[in-house]
Amino acid sequence: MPRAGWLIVVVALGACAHRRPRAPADGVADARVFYYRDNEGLQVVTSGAHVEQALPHGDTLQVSYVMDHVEIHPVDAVSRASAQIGDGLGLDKNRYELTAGYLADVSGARATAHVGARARVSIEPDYLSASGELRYAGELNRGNTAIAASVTYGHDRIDPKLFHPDDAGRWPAAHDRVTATIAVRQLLGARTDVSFGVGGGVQLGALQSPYRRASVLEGFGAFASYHDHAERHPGTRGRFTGFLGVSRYLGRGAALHLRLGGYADTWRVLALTPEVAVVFELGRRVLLSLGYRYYVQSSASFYQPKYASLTALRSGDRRLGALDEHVPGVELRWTIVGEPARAGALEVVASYQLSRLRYWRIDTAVLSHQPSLGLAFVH
Amino acid sequence: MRGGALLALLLASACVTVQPWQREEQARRAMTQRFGEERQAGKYRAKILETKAGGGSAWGVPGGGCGCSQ
Repeated sequence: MPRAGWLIVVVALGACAHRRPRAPADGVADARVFYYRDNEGLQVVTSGAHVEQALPHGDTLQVSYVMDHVEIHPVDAVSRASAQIGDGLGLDKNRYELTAGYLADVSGARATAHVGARARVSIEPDYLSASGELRYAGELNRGNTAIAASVTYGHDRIDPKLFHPDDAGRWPAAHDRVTATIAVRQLLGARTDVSFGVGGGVQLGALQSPYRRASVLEGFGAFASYHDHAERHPGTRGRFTGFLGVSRYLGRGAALHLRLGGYADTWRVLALTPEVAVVFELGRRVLLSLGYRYYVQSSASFYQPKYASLTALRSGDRRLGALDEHVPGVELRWTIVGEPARAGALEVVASYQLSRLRYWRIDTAVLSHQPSLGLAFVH
Repeated sequence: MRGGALLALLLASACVTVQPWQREEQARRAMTQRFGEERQAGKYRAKILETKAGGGSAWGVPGGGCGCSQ
């Protein structure tokens, strides 16, 4: 956990230490560490802290801090699908992200509603990303219907320290994005609810990577061979998403959650994500979740693992090819002090996810392990 | 077509009114604390998906920050 992250948690815990236990909660402070490791030599440690505090008049303040430490040490640099420039020996870098948001209570006599704004900045050695979001969340129909909507604008600047000679003059570069989402949750009865939503967005600017290379066949007959060329992606990408979910309380402290997500973009990538989770309350203090997600995706129109000739659009990004992923997971939440979701509660959360991702176009499978451990204090 | 079906579902479901005193089971932790969705976990899962797949999460439109969405 980075020092600043701990500081946020300690300040939040200290500020709320005087509160009586078992009072209704008006905030939470949590710290969590996620670990990712795959069979290609990629290792990421993500540590984060999040503080949420209710203010007078029903307003809410949120602050989050995240740090990623990324290490890439290819176990088999020769067979890696996406050719990269550089020595291929590895990379260590950090990414820092800070998010701050304010949600104002604008509830009327007949319905509750909040409007808010959130700002986010992410910094890494060769990449700067900043975004701002406006959001609305409200309840209608005596609390039976909840609606959330957001509009986000983001600006990213890429400043690579190393790039292909073909790309001289292209970097540093930037791209902008605008996205909008709306989601609805509706109670269907005492034990069932349904949720659904749609989103759309557009990205404009430099959307290729300065590091990846496209493999292109050059020369004739016996003298033909593959050479690396700089990527050329379209300068615009429109994205559309949607989801539909159903949750059902099964009785005896168990609930079933089903969800289906869809994705489409103007590069002709289509994706579907069915997901199922079963959550069990084991006594008053322990919550056990078992989940499984499947993700399947089609190929972008211009993606080829290897190009037979130099084309105007080309990519070395295997993520733009057809792929699928199986992700089973388990999560355990244990309230070790106090009552769950009540002021004074201290909760430990641990999770583990296993992912098997297959890139069909290059016949490559990536197996990754993703454990996490966290501590949350409700105040 | 798909949008129409969603709208029909919304209109049909809006006719249902569950009174506050009937929502005890809706408020159970098993219903409200879904797998990997709270605060940091939800963002982290979206980030991992964005890093490994070209499409990204259906629960939001991905955007840069890790250099992985280019």
